[in-house]
Amino acid sequence: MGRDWEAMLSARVRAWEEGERLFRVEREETLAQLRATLPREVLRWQPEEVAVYECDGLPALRERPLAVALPRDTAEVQEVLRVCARLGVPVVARGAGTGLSGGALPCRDGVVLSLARLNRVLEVDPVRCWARVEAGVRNLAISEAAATFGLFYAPDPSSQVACTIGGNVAENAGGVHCLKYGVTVHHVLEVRGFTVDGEEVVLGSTAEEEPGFGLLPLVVGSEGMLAVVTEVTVRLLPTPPAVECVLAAFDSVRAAGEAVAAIIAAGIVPAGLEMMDRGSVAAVETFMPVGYPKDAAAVLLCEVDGRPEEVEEELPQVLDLLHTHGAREVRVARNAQERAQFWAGRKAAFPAAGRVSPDYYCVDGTIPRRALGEMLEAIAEMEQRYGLRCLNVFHAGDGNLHPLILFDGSREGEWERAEAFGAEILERSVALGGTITGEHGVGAEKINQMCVQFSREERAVFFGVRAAFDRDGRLNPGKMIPSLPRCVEYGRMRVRGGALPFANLPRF
Amino acid sequence: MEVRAASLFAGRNWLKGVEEELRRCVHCGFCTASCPTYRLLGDELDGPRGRIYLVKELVERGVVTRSMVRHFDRCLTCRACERSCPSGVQYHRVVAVGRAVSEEMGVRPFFERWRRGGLAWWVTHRALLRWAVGVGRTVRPFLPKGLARLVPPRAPREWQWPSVSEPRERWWLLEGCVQPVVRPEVDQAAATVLGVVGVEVAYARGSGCCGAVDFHLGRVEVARARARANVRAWWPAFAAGERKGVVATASGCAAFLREYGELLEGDEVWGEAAAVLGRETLDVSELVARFAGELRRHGREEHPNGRERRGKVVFQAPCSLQHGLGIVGVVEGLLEGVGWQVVKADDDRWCCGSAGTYSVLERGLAARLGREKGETLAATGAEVVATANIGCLLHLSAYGRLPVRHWLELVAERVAREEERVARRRR
Amino acid sequence: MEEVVSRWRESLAEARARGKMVRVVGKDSKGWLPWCRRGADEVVFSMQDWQGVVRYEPSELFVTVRAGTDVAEVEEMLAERGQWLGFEPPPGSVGGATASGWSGPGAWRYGSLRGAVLGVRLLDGAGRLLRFGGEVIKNVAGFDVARLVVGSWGRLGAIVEVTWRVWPKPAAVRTLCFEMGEGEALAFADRLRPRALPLSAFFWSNGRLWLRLAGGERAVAHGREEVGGEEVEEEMAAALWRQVRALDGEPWRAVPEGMALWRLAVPPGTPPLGMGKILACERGGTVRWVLVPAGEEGVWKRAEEVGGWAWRWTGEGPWQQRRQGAVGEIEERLQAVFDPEGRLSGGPWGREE
Repeated sequence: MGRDWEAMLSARVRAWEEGERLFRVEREETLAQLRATLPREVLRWQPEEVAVYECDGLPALRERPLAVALPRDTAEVQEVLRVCARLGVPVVARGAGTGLSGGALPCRDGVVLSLARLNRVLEVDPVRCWARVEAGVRNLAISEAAATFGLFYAPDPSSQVACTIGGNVAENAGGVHCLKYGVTVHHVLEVRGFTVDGEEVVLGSTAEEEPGFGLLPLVVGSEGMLAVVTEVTVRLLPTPPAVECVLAAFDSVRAAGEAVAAIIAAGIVPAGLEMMDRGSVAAVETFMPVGYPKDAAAVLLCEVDGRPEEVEEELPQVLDLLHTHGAREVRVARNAQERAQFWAGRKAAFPAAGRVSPDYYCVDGTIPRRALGEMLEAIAEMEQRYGLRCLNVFHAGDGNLHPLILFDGSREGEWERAEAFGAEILERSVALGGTITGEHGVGAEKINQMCVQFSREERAVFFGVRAAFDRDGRLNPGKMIPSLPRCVEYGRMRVRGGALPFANLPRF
Repeated sequence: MEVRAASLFAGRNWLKGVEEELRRCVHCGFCTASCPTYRLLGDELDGPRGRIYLVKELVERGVVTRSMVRHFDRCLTCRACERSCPSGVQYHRVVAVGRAVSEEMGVRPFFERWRRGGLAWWVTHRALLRWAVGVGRTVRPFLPKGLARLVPPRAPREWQWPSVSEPRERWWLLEGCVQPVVRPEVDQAAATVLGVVGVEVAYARGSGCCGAVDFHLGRVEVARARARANVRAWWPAFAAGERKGVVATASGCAAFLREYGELLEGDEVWGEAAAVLGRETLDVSELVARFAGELRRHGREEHPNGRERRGKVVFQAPCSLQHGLGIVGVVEGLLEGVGWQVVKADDDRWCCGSAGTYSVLERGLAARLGREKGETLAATGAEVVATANIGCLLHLSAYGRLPVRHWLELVAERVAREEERVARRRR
Repeated sequence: MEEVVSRWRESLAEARARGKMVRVVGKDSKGWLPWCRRGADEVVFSMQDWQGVVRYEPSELFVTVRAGTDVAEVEEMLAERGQWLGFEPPPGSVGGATASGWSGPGAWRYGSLRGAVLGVRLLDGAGRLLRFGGEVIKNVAGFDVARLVVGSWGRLGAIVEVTWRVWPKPAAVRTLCFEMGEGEALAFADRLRPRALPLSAFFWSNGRLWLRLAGGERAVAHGREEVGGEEVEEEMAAALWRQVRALDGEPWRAVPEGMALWRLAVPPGTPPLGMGKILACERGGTVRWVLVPAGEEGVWKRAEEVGGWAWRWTGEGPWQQRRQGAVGEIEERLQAVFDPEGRLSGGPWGREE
């Protein structure tokens, strides 16, 4: 352990605390160098081309990168990273660009490294029960490839048709079946990739444990700030032979919440447990009429799976609990098709909000489940105060709440109001014993709220962890870890009641 | 997404529509997964969300570049993305504006303009095309393989239009451009099948190509002129109640006819008539399906127990049919009704790569998609591929391993055989 | 809490003043392991008295406990509400279990202890009191330092408080026994893995395979019919699993003279290693306990060949090899983030100079 590292680290932390920008790039010259080194097929730099990559699934935050690299294999990924290292250019890795926290928001003077072309399923092993895939393989494509062997990949974020496994690893993606099956970190065995300098690394192990420190869980959910992942080995599970899905309608959100608590207290861990409020049900129904009761105050979806006899045991219990807790309508999906339909509505809930409003802002706090009623009341009050509507989608099993704030970005000041609304929800989540992000990541979006959830010292540790992988902080700069001045300023602003727009704060 | 249109476009009639679509898009990216070109190229610029973004750039900055045009060109307009869009963005309307405006602003080099114009002209003039196909057929053995693939090998047979005595319904049949030249059998089959159930169809004098070819090449004015001519030819008999509407045997044409109202919006003379006729247009599968009960009789006669089916067919639904018109499962039902065993192919939502003139203009991508599709279709173990659009039919024949027919031909053969059998028995 | 913090800072100061290292100890239940022997140049910091359950919410499926609390105590409390720690941590203190990162036989079904850690409070080598993670199942705010700390053996700091995920206790548990050799048992594991069976533990030793089924009454009954085997009496089975979980008894504690015990983690589906004497296989064959002559260093390489890694369990260190190259450097730098002066000792890696 060299002294120089320690000196460097403390210098970096100091610089970071002072809010200094850590790199500067000569745009024209860098671009010329990139063009000279990388094949045309791999590089996009014209203004209208890079514009397409200026945002991910959170289009409210945009930044045009210097260039976009689209490597076709891992060798080219390494090449891009080496070139960028030589030139001191920041790099932002990107999968399908479906993230909702601006995690793939480009850096103005940086290169966007798209891994979408690495889309081969390398191996599905039906005996060892794993799949080895490239980072650009879609989440659902893994389960599709494994289906022949009666296996599946458990984490299933709503965007699973489109999102890539590389992005899932970066964000530690969850889904609607987390309570029973866990999130991405529980299903990734090994990742291969490169450090920011293009050095090859293998983290985790197919032997299920890794020697030394647990670097794999550190990299999973690191929002692309520690390493560029090019290959992932995931665990596959046997597809449960029996699945039943129940849809229950309630006259109040509180009653639905109590039903959820009762189901879990009864010792049942449902595969999925989702709640939608009246507004989101209406939005879904206008887009794809899947048969949700439109006049209910809350709709609950509860899925139990496992062996037929397990399901036979659990289903009547669930139905019973739903009835005793005031469900006024309970429907069991009659077949796989109807079940898929129940879920299709839920999985399309976010974009369906785009039907009732030009824009929506999806918030991602997690709260202890018992605080749900309190939280929803607080949100209702905020709707009044901010003058914006909010739909609520809730992973009821694990406490992950997704309020969808509706706004119109073309109206002056609405996005700022929506952002402040979201910020207040997140801070309330922390106050209730929860967290500012359950599965979407901090990204560029919730960076201010990191000041609320973590102390100065904890943020310094995050910074150190990052520097241990990436000395100069060139991988996905400006995400997740707020600088000290930023937090100071944000703290002042919160004291003044959040009345100031924070659009003018630099997002780095 | 928010949009702020450049002042340059203020007052343009397409602006409001495209703004509406752009604002409806929430940039979720679900569409990329369903896009054939994104899958092959892995670049957002070649996926629906990227192209929508390019149109947004165009609308906001008022600038078109060569690279934008290249990415618009690469879109198959298969509309699979629309089916997967949870926000209901009508993507084809967005890309159409992108194409039309870039054509108007003239960024293509001369050679490209000439090639595209020439292609449209050639394809949509039946006499020319007939001559070219005739020549092509003669010299086919000497042509390079790539070109030879595009020439249909068989010469049309002599055939007589059936006469329907006391028809219960009468419809206009769209004559179209390519199909009557290279596969006249399709319309003959349509006339036969519909004749059996008492529906009479006929071409209207003065009608012709629907205009889709020109429209998709961004030649909107030419397309409008064609639409006007067709509406003019169909309207009198329709208005008089003699013809119930228009039926097309190519699903691509049917999907385009449906949008005549939008195409001729603002046309003082024919605008309203176009809208009405557009609504009264059917794909031939929809019309035949109305009489499916009577057709099924033919299938049952041949297979008395109704269980055993003869012949295995795989139906490749054209994108214009399944994504454009939203007709799913209808043709399969009709084929089963007359005794075919219909098998399902993997990835049956994917485009085969034909996409009209795309197969000529973007030959590389079209060929890759065509070959892939050919493999998945062959893997089903079917003996024949059925489809519902002339473009797909030619493309799949060129790149696939199985014989490809229009589904109407398959139905017509069974129906005709059955008619014959019944007649024989009566004798 | 303040008392612990100031005591920790005092220990650090003392170590600095006397040029010593700091070793964190809980209940000292792992004191029998060679890498847990205290060095003469070490200041011992004990968490033993820092006990108690901070928060337990059965319907939220988590429990937050102070590091010195006995695991058995926590389990007793959970059992009253029909819940348990599915990953079956080793006996001893909660902090010690977390710092070791060990999981018991239940990890085969419920995942490892690392996966079950939702949050930790940590006193690091710079004397800072830090909190990472939280008390909710889904939480992706910041780097997952809580899980990094799992298995760090006190090298990143002293764990003060841990939040674990808990599970409802299965209604029925049954253990089956099969007479079979190592190869046969491993092949059997390969056949079981892709099947949806209510399996919860796998242990092979000395010509016998024990399989534990857990779940609903009927599911377990069906599963039992499907896999076969001889049912083991409940009490005897419980004793067996307790032993496996504590690494107590025969294979682990009675190593013959001149031999060394090794633990190998290997990918599922790895055939018998054909090396030394196989003592036991756990978790579907992904953990193997092997006896080889002391001083035999070929084990490192053999483990690497099959895609796994080795851990020397007895004898002189180093007991585990540090990873080389970029990853090794990252590990060193990470340690310096939490322990800038290099004052914390512990773990099977030996001390770097």
